[in-house]
Amino acid sequence: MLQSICFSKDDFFKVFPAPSSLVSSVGFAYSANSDLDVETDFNLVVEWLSSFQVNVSPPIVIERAIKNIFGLEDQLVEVYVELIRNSFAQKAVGDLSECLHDNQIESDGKDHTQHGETRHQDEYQSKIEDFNQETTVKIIETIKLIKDHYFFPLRFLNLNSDQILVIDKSLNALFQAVLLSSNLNEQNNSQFNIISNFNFIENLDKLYQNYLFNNNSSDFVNLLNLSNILINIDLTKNLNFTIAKVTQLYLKNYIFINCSKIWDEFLLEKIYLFIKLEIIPKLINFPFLLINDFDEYYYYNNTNTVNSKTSNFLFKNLKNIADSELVNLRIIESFDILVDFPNSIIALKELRQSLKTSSQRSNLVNTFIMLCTKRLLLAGANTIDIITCYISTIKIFLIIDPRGVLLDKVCRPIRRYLQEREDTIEYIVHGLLNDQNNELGELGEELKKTEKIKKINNYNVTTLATVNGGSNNKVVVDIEEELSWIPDPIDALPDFKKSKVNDVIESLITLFHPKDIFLNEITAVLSSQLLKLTNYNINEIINKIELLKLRFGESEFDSLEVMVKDISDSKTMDSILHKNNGENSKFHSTVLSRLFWPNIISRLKKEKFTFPAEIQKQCDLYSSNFKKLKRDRELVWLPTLGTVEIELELEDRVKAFNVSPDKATVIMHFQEKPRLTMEELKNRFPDLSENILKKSITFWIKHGVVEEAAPGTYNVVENEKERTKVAKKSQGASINTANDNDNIIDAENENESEVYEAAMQNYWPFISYMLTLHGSLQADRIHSFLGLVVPKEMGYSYTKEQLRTFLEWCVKQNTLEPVLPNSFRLKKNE
Amino acid sequence: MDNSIHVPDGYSVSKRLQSELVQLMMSSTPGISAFPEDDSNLLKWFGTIEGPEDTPYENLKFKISLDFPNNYPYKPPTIKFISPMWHPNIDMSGNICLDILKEKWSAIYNIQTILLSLQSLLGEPNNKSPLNAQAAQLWDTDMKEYKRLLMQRYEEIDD
Repeated sequence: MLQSICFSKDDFFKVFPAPSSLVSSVGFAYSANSDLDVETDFNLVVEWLSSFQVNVSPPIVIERAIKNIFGLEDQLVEVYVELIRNSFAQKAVGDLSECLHDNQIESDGKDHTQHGETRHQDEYQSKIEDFNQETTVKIIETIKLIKDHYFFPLRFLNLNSDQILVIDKSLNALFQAVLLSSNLNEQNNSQFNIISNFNFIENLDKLYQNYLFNNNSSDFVNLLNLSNILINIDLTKNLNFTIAKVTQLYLKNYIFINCSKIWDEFLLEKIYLFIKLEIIPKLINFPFLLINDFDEYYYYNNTNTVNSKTSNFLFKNLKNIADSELVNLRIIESFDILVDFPNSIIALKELRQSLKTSSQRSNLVNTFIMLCTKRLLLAGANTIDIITCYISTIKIFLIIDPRGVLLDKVCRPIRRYLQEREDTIEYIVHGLLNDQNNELGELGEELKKTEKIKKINNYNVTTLATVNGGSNNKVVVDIEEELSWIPDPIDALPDFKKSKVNDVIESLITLFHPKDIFLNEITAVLSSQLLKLTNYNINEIINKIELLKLRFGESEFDSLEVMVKDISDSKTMDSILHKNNGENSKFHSTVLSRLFWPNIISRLKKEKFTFPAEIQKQCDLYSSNFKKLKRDRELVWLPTLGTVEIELELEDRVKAFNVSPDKATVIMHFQEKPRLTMEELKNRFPDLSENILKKSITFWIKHGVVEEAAPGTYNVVENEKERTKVAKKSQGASINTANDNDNIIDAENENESEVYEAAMQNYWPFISYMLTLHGSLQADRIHSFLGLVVPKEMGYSYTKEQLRTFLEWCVKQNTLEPVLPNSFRLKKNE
Repeated sequence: MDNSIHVPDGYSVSKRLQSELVQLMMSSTPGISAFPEDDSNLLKWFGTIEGPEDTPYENLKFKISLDFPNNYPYKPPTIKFISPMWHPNIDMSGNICLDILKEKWSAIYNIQTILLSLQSLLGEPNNKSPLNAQAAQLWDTDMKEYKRLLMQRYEEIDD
């Protein structure tokens, strides 16, 4: 549009013939030589344009000259644009940098007075920002003045709208060049560099941030005025960007302040309401801007009109922004939401609703995994907590993504970590069986659900089976699966299996392969539960076994079945014995099948001790009656496994206890003699190890029945009140107890290793047998042989290291001898 | 391998072999023992048999190999002497002619009974269907020569 036109007189009239007739008809003084007159007039006007004063009308001569050069407006525009360009650098830039200059001096001064004091640093910073904003406002106002200045003469020239537009555009281009000077290259901005270190756009953002959603209406009107000026100099695009940016930031802040940590109510509707009531009414004042920015289509259809369509369109856009901002917030909070589950269920449902793009999904997965490794999968975390979190993870990710794909991804690191933990199985099994600690009790509840699921499945299978005329069951299941087959979701990992992750129990069970380790642990826990029973009531345990069978398969719990049968047989036998022989009604027994309780029995064989005489009589009577009932079968008593209900009558109180026989026997001896020393006790219990003896004594001391009068001497506390008095008097005694505690801890450690060795003793026959045949073997091969040949019911779940420790222990015991390299063989008896 | 014999569902040969091993181990019958040869294959065992008293085999110890089929005990294991052997019913490469290992096999037999049968076979050869005719003849006629030839072939097992 702004082609440079060579301005010589000849060319000029070739293109534009002199309008002599018009000029003469007006009757100018210079009409004699019209060519010369027009040129002179033109120069006159140009001269006036370069030196006019605002708000001062041109002199008559100029007005005449303007009329005289009618038809040369295009050329005049060219010249005026050139004039503006030449003067702009001096006038406009000078004015603009003046706004900046005032500020600089002030801020410099502040800098010196408040140097070094951090407390004032913030104040200082905020003052600078205030200055910057003032400057920004000043700049915009100055722009208006400059523009008014350059537009003033135009009203006296007879210009059409296109010509005015040309001037407008070139003026705007100059303003843009100054304000957005960072976009220009070095050479060009040399004349504008006075304000180049003041980032106009950045400060514009801040200005709008402060005032766009400010409730002060006069501020807002001011802002609207400034916006109009900016639109006027064609900074529409930048302004759009600023407003969009500020709006998004505002919305983000609102969501951050109002939604952080709030997971138990629906928030999206509240946010939408906020958009409708707070944001849109403001933005609707900039209809042209926003529509232009958001969608060209609406720009052409709804230019300058504010209607419901616009606000709907705005709302749609802002809703999307709100959704994704909420998702971003929730992603950062994901781990806390997990911890808060199930209170955070509403937040999860909303997350599911607003989680739309695949980048958000992968961001969620990555952030969650990152948070997990940072906060959960640490050596310091409890295994129980990790399992609880794992269960919650399964639940929350099934809410967020019912397909299970995200779950599959986030589960993997947690599973891998759980597999490394040694006590994982133990806790899972205890949780499954709802034993002692109920922290994982929900697992037991989950297990109960199994029944329903499997029943439904079985129902389907059986109906189909009858339809097919009783063909093989397996085939039917396959057909059913095939009919309902759908492809894996597109973003699933290659080995994705929904059923593996979406069922809490299944997911935990599949942590370890093979299942045997689980089965062993389950058997161990249930067998100890069975042993604890005193009333032969096995219904609950039978229920549990039935549920477990649904999970693990019918044939996996053979030895447990035998154990359960032992208990129920014992019940029948016990009642028969009582009926026939009039046994002491307080004496009951449980008969165990030796082969199926291997771990327990072999361990307890070592801990032998004799019952007190009167109890032993009962035992013998019971045994002989048993022998009569079951021909030729001998009872072998396991004294430490029983429980005894005793009632202690002391001088001032009666106490009831339910304790193991060894403890009961120990306290029984105090009946004859209220003061006993450790040595005496040892003599009375030649079979009992000192550990167990000490444990029993500590137990009674803890319950206030016995006290340690002097080191190694124990008294019965007949009168509790007196004892407390004595305890207050002598404080020295406490030192002794402290020492004793240490001993007990040591003793317990010893005991642990004994138990462990006892457990390993089960495998000794295998080891010695294989060594008789193989001669010498490496520890690793012994380990894998044991894995191969030890039957499932017995289970071999020790590590190579544990085996090696045991083998080395055997060397100490003189049963094995080491052979290089790394091998062992049986020590020959010589 | 012949799979025509019906094997019940869920049957596991390793379970059976494991329990037989426990039985063998616990019974501690003198003179016989067997154990898997390789720590990754439960179907391949080796064992030792000591010669019964009052026979030429007294105080001698022989090594054998036992290969179990997948459908054991519905099919008999293949048993061979690894130690060089001199016996009417055992050929020079260790193959054994014993009816219960062939046509008279029954699923009620187990490793322990097989080993015991083999042990008694050493003392009571069946000379009617010999694999080693010379041994069969000498057993009836010249026990001294029989023992000499046996010791000529015998090799002690080293650990």
